[in-house]
Amino acid sequence: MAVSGPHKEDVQAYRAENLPPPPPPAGQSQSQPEPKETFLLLLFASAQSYCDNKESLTFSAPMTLRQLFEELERRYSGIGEKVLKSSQFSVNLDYVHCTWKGTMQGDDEELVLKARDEVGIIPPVSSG
Amino acid sequence: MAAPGSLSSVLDPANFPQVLKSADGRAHVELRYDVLDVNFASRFIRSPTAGANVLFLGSTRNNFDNRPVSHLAYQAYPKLALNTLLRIATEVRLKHNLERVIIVHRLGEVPIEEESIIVGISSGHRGEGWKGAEEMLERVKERAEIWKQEWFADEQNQSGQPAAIWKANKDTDQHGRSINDG
Repeated sequence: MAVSGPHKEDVQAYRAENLPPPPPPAGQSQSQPEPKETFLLLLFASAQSYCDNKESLTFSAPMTLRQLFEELERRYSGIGEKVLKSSQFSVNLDYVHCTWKGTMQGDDEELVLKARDEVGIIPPVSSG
Repeated sequence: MAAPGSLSSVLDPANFPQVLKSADGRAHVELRYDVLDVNFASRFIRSPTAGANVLFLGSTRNNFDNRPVSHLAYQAYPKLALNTLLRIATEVRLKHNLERVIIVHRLGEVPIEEESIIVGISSGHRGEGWKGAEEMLERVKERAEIWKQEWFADEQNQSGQPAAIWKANKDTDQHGRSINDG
């Protein structure tokens, strides 16, 4: 879709002054929308079974850990008591200090999840 | 299992086997979907300075709590599980002065009598070897981000009983006795 934006010369003039390029004119959508800024919640074992056997869910960033799991409880009512209460949690492969007690509580409850982060729900393990 | 259009699964069997090794080459950990190779594990732990080689093979049992089991199915958080396995392998190797150590875990369906895990170690003498192998297995079962789903063969006969359940190692001891969380 052709967008009648500012003239090329105008853009170059802006750049010459080390300013960011001008925003698209009001009332016109951009032809290439920004990719949605999301992060991934990985589900394993009982967490997966509880969420219709989905292996992962996508959420819009930013969001705190507490907000994420409140949202999850809204979408999958009862998951807190059935799954989260006995689980641990990881962000980008590191365990975080949080436990589910009706809401997410602990030192990391206000940790902000950014785009492309990877959060994991770790239910009690059973290898071997 | 991934829903159509979803992001590619971290558990896609096409991305396995996955292996991590310690920088010194003495520890090897691996996740794979196909049959475990006991000979590979036994070759890996060989060392000219080892007089003892211990291999533990964990296999699928055909029953649990008097219910017939048809098979087990495993899944893992692969990147996290491999990190954890390598950390355990290295820590236990150093603690018990072991020569070489290997941990291989199978994912997906594991039929009766087939192995789901190999823990192998070599050491100068049998004393530290037995102890090291046991500690390595116990720590893996306690910590590694791997999950076992038990599938029962009696779903028709036991109304109200689920056909499959996710297990938790903390619920049973080394002898298969249940541990009361209290």
